[in-house]
Amino acid sequence: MYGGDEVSAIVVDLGSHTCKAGYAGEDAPKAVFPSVVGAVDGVEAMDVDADSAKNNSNSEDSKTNESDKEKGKRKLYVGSQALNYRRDHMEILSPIKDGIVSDWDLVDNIWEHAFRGCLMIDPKEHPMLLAEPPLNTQQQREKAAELMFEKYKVPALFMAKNPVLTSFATGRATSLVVDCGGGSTTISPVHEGYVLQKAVVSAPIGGEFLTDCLLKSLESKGIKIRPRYSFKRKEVRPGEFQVEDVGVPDTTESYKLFCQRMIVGDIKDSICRVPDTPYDDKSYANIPTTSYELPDGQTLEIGADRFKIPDVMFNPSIVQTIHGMEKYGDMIPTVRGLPHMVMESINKCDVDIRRELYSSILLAGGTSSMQQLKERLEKDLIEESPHSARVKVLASGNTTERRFSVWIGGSILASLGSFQQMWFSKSEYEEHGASYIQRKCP
Amino acid sequence: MGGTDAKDILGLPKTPLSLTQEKKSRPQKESHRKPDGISREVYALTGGVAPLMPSIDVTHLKRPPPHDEKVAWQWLPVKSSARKDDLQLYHWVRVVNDVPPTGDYSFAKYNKSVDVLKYTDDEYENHLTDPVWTKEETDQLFELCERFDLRFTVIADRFPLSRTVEELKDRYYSVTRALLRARAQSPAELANHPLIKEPYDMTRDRERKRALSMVLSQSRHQEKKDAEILAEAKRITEMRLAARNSILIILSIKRLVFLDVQRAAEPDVPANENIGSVSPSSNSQLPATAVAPSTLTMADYASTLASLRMLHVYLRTYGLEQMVQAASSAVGLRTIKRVEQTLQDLGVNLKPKVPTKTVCDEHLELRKEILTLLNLQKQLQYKESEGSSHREGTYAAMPDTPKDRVFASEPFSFGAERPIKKEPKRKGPGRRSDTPSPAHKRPRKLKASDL
Repeated sequence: MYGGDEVSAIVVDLGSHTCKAGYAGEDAPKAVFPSVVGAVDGVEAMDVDADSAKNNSNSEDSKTNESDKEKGKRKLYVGSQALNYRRDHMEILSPIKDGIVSDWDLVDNIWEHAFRGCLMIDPKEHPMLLAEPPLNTQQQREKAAELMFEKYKVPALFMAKNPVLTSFATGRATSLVVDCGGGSTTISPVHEGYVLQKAVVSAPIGGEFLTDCLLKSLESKGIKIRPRYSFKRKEVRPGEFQVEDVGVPDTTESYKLFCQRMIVGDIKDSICRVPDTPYDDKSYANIPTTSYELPDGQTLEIGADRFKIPDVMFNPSIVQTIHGMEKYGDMIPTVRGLPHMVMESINKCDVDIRRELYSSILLAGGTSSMQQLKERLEKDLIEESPHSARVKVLASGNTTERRFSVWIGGSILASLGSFQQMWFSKSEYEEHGASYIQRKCP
Repeated sequence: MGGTDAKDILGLPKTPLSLTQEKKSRPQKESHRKPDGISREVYALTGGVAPLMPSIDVTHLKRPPPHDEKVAWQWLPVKSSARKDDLQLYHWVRVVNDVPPTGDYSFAKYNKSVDVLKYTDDEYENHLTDPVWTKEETDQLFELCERFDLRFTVIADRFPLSRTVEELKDRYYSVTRALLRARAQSPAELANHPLIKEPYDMTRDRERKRALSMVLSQSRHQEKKDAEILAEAKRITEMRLAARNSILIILSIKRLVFLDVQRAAEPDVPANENIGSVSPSSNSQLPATAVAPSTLTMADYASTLASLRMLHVYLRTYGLEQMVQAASSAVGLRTIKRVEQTLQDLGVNLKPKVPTKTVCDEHLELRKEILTLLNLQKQLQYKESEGSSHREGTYAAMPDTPKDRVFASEPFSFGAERPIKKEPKRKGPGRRSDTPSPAHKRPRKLKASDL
């Protein structure tokens, strides 16, 4: 590689839906798993005193334990393998709320799983590159730095913002990044490698929101999505299966929802398409349906929902027509569609760079690989934008690249020779403290 | 070489010339021998000659590494002058003979930054105070300038107080200029410094940005409207221009007519009454029709006149055709058909058999009158229906007002400038007294015989 010089750095991108981790210099992350943690609270039958005594002795050797950690009364399970196994009373918890980290304990567990469980490295030997959301607060960054240096004892650290990494992944220093992720959609302009923070626009509509919409819509039509653990298929006659319900009374609601979301998420990925024109019930009433077979053998016929759900991104007020989603009704009026958010973000920037931003709009994130999203966005933007600005929406053809574009950008950045002078090293941390990160990682 | 091989394979007889060629080519072949290291066929693929530019020295490919050198790759710490602390990162290094490469880290030379002038407090007190900017702000500004290498867009974004990019630029450049001036020994050495030669002008920058933002912030909708308005304005100017032109032409006609009239000593042709009414006995070449255009607009009339005049010599039928076309250009196909139908009903040929001047003129006039007639009929029907609906709506209707108003308001389409001098055969539609009384429920159809 021309500008490359490997120092075997590790790139970690903790998103709201999945966590991606891997070696810098590679073209895809090795460890990809859902960024939620299954927590089983201690069983109530145990004696409180005996419990605390036992837990105290356990906490010393808890560090050697791979994926289980006993902290207080809680056992945590991380990783897709652990999560796919149904356990009684297991609650699904997410550390990220509204795009920022709310529970550092869970984050710690997730990182631990990534390093020791998936990548099998010792963090002491590798500099770390972390990807963070563009509107991250100073406090969050300091906490992350502290956790990394104190607990994992990394030699060097750098925190880069997601849109900057996406921009580097496509080889540009100035662009407008439309990141349609799991938890939210964020539009941020990047100018010469720095995010213009005052022009970042964010909306809480993301892939998970769309999955929820689809789930509620299917439920309101009477279709019951059975999570995988709740049924058994028995072969009654050769080729014919009979479905039996397995009674699992102790499963928590959040786990059930998690499993249902996995199934519906797959439906969304495979079937949903963004309509070419704004959705309205009349014109899509007679659309031919597509069939999808659920794991329990049921066949779904999905017609208008195929187009209705993705159009929520462009026209959030559609959500109010879906049964079961009324609780979002008060939030919706403030949220505008995707093209409007793009225009808003660009108009908040300085006039000189607007033209350049218009001609390099990048799509990133898992939700952006929905079919026809790029074409629809381009069409809407060309209509709304001024004539003199050439609008160009770029997205890599490969869906893997779109999903992991932040990680890939980090991989590129951490393996550049001229980046090696920018690491925030342990000695600097010890000398200046965690707040120095603000200076070092712009 | 390949050629002879092919011939061999195909079994073609070699021509006698080729023998001599072969002899010649053989010594050439010797010098063209394939280099060692690649097989003959591969070499032939490249055309059989050495490449114009040496790509890889083929001899190197198979050369084993010299035995005195020992190349290994080692995982060694990075020594870089770009870092000020003692961070030890490791990377793979090509080590020859156990001697690690010396010299600085190869990427350290990319660690460039802009040199931003730093000022002391004294200098600030003496030269750099400003009513709008406090010292802390200026300090912050300079710190950000250094961090971000004078990327003012980013600096404006990160600046804690909200100041525009132009203000920041202005402050930075004025401070630097003042510092340069203060520190310079003589003004001469400063004269070439770019900051002194071309000072930053904040107002101009602002104006430029304002204009740019106006261009870029127009929405498509507005642009469409602007485009429409511009097209409309263009059309109006063109119409006005055409009207003005036609008036000029007509004025010139008038003048000619006037002269002719004077010459021919024709009595009582008030030239200003009807511009188009030239007496047929005039000597002019103008193929003026006897009547003013009824449905013709002035512009069409003038333009046909002009085009005909250009020809100087033409057939009268051709001229008649042109006039007819001009007259009917303003109406639709169906109306033209109805005119022709009416002509046929009256027993008049569509094209006059004997196209003398009078006949042509009369024909044209007839056509025009029929057009007017049809127009009137349509108007009448329309107003009748309106009136009847009005009547149904309100019992105390006053249906005569709309109708009269209609007829009163459309004088121009009636050929109000109809000449007093007319052929006695026809009566113009200008008579208003024959409008059907409003009491008639059935619209009274104006028949041609009524005229």
